[in-house]
Amino acid sequence: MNNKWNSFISKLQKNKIYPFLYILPVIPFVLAYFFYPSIFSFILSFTSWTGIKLSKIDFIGIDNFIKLFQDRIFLIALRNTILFVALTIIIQNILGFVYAYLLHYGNMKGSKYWRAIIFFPVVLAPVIVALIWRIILSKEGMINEILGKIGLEALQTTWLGNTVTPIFMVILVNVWQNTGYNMVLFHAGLQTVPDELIEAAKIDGANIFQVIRRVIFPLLTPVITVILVLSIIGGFKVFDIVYALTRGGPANLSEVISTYMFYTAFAVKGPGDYGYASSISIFLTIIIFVLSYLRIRFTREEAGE
Amino acid sequence: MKTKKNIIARLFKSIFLAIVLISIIFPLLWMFSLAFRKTGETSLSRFLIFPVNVETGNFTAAIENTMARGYSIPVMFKNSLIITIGSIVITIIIASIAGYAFAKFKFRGRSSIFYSILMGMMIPGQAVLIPIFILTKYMGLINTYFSLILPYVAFGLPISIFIMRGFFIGVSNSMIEAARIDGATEFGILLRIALPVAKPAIATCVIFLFLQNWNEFMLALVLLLKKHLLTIPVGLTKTFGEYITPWGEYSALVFITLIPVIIVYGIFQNWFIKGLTAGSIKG
Repeated sequence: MNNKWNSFISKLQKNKIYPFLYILPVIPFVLAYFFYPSIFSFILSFTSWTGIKLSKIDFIGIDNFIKLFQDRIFLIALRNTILFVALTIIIQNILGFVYAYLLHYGNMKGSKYWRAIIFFPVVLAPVIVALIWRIILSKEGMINEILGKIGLEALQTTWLGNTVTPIFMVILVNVWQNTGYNMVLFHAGLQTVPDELIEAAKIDGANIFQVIRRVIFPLLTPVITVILVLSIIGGFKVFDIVYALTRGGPANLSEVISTYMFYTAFAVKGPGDYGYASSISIFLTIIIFVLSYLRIRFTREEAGE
Repeated sequence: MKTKKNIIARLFKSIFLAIVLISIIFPLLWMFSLAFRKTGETSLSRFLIFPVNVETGNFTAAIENTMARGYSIPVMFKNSLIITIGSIVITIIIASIAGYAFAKFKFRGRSSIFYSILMGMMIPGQAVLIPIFILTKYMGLINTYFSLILPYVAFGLPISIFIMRGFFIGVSNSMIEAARIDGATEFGILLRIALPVAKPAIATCVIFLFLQNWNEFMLALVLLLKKHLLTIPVGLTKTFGEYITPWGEYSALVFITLIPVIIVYGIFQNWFIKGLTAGSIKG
């Protein structure tokens, strides 16, 4: 059936330039915004450049990377990022799965609308979400108000201003915004689970948790892998929510890798050290590339390649 | 036995609905209610979801006060719209042409070029932030709309090309061939045959790009410095960062920026959910 087509294609191939004209407009964007920046960032990470003049770039070898692991604030940022990734993944996925399960099997009236409501925060700008929660978590905010009403004044605090809670508040706000996303992905996955399998398991006397563990989870493995890797990568990149909620404060205690990188390069009262900031971003990029590589490997294995 | 199970199931459902209501809707309502309270009422000790008297004083005060400081909500909306729509239009044009080529032409290096473009999805914005800032400065684009439109196009291209290519692969070759026999030009085929059927794929891209660019924060924070050019996320952050805003006015401003999102989402919620799940391949 493809003979005619193939002969036509081979004719077309004689004119080799033609397809490239279609791709040509993409090239300057890729070069200017991916290729050049990645290389320049890599080079900068070995310098102590402060961004004044291109001719005044001093190479300092791997000093920046040594400094990273002696830098108290960077280590706080790294710890916070890992804490953020771990907790958001656990909470968002458990909640997301429970929501999706109830939406799919709960026989609820108007489940479409519930889904839309839970998903709503996902479409908001993370910055706007953070601004909303800044009022809610403020000294006179909703949380303290509720605590006051139910007689727990002792627990009232400035949630974003003390030395312990800020990073956990960042995690809470992120969970509030993104659980709907995990829910929708799980929900899409559950559509592929055949009802007969679940019925059969129930007839065999399996209870709901056994059905979830033995029937649903194995069938959802591909979906779960994608969701996990996506949440891990997204978690390592988190910037907007932290910046708008706490700016890494107080005293750098809620800093994550991205906000610390931003502080190092661009903050008004920061060091303005582009070289050191680049080494932080290269560190982050390496983590993300390793994770992305793992994800591609996993997906290929599932596809049976 | 049956009834007992039913009761438990019902209980779970009610708990679920209660959690959703309390955790998602309640904070939003609480904040909105602040906006409609009396101006200057800073103490929030009265715990009321709906204020006794609905007042709009906070809205006028908020708009006037931000104007007085050189920030302006309408201008922020205008900036966000220009930058978002401008970048979406350019992205869609470039991505549909390139996606078509990757799907329907055979040429040397096709898959290696395609996958190197896809690699762009993996690069985190943080990693390219400083070089892009320097590039924009040297091109003299700082404080122009193009300083943001161009990188937004770049960051939107990989995923859009991916989506468009995936769609065009499914468009039957016989249709294209028939047009060729009728003497249509190659570009005419793309324009008149392939693109009109690609509307769903384009819609997916538009939703995805719209949210990404409308909400983008980090680049906008670095590249736009003049007050009259700020987009909504950066504009609001800077307004609140520079001056102490009473909570009532603060909520009013956030509320204003949320209204269009709520309306658009209310109409197109299914498209949003579909568009964003299609974007889940982005990583």
